[in-house]
Amino acid sequence: MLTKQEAEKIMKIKGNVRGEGLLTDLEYVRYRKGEKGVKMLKEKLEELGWLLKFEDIRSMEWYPIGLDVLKILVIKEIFNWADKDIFEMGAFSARVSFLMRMLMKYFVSPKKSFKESPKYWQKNFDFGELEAHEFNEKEKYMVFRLRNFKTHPICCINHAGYFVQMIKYVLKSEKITIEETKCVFRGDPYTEYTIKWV
Amino acid sequence: MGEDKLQRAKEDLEDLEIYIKEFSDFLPLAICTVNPLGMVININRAVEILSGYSSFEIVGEHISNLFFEKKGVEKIERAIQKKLSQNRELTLITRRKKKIPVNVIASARRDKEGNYMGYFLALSDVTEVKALQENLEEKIKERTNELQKRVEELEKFHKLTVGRELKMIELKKEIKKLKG
Amino acid sequence: MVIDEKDKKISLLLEDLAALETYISDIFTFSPLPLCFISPLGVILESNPAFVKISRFSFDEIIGKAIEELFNKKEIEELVNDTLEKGTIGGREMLFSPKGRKEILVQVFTKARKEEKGEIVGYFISLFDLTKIKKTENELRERVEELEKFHKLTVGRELKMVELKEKIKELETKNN
Repeated sequence: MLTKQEAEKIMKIKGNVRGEGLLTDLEYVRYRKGEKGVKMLKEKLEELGWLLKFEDIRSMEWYPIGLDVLKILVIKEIFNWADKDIFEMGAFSARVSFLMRMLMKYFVSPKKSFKESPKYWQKNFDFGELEAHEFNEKEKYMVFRLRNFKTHPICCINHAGYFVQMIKYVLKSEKITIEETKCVFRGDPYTEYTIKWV
Repeated sequence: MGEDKLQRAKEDLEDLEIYIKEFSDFLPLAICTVNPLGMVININRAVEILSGYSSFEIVGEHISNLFFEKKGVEKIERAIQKKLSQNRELTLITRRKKKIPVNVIASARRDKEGNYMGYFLALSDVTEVKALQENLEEKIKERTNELQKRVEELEKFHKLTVGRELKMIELKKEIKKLKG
Repeated sequence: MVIDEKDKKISLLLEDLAALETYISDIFTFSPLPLCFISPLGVILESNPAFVKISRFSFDEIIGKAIEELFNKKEIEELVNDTLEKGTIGGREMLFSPKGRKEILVQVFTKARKEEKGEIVGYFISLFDLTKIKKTENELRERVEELEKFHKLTVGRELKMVELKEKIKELETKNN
């Protein structure tokens, strides 16, 4: 169970996220748990010492990344969600993020989208760098590397869901899988995602 | 000054986002925004109402999933890439698996350099128009059939009793006579 | 905030702004449904190609024109008042007056736009031209009516014959 001390530690993580990122997860909570669920989230955050007026969140504003992390952890705890739910929440975010969908002018082919993906990272976070490391059309896999981004292991799962959905916009495949082949929380210098398709 | 510029840019962006959402919600015509790979990247409220799907159920899926005629959708995509606007009838499959005839208008989106960026697809439900036409055409068919039968009967009757009109005049004369 | 970081953020925002502006412009232009945006005072501020076409004015002429020049003044006043009250109006049939042409029947949809403080900043208006539908409806109805009339006449004729025969029978019986 999250404590106030843990919450305070999380809020000290350096870096900012676009308001859009916070809003899309709220929408997922609303979708799955209704307004009651959103109220529960708000109350728990308040209990941990972080009052957040959801109606005041602006999609274009920057907010402390700690808030994003804390919000995901609280969501997982109060609804007793598994990792797959957090993964789904990431995927949902890519489906409802209006800004991301409107800015998809580079999403014209899988390879081009892959190359342009670092730009989209910068639109959501003001720290960390996403590297489009390898695209292998023949073997049907692509590799992303996320450097200088160390927040919480829960975010790795959330981002994985987001990446898969973004890929689905440009790749028509029966099965698309993602694996976290390297992780900063396992001592690796960066987090690496390998996405495969059939 | 940098702070002002930043603040202004944020406000402009927010205002525009709100404008787009309001406009999208208002538009009585169902419009889907599709990327070059055929994936739906946005739909408006009218599409949700027509199809019964929520936005996030359709966004991220291939546009052909919404229609019965998968090949029809492919043809549209090929045609608009050749810079031809498309206007044809397809069958929309709703969330409840109901089939709705729709008139589809598609038009390609291009960037400043003329590169293909996907397309807009507008859908109009033609159920009522079709029903009205079918209903009235059915009535005409019925009436025409009835009249045809009536004409055949009359012709037959006319053949059997030649000079029926003369006969009527005769009958009328007779009545006059009988009345005295 | 460091200057570089700020410039980077401004640049990102301006890029996003340009992309959204393109999107809204594209969709407005694409819409086969005539659309316009009018000010709180009823002046046309924006118009898409479909609206320009149905109005028969040029783009330059239509921007800045009062909406009441295209509709009956009283009807449009009522429409605006109702939109103000209800927020949106869906599918009201009205007469639309294109330049140099006879009035046409249209179905009008409206929505009020308000800013954060609740003040009206304008109205979206879209039209659906009912001319063709009404024409088809009328043509088909006329055809049915014609056929029904003809049907009545021929049936009537047979009945008249039967009537005359009965009259004769009656008179013959009377005379006998």
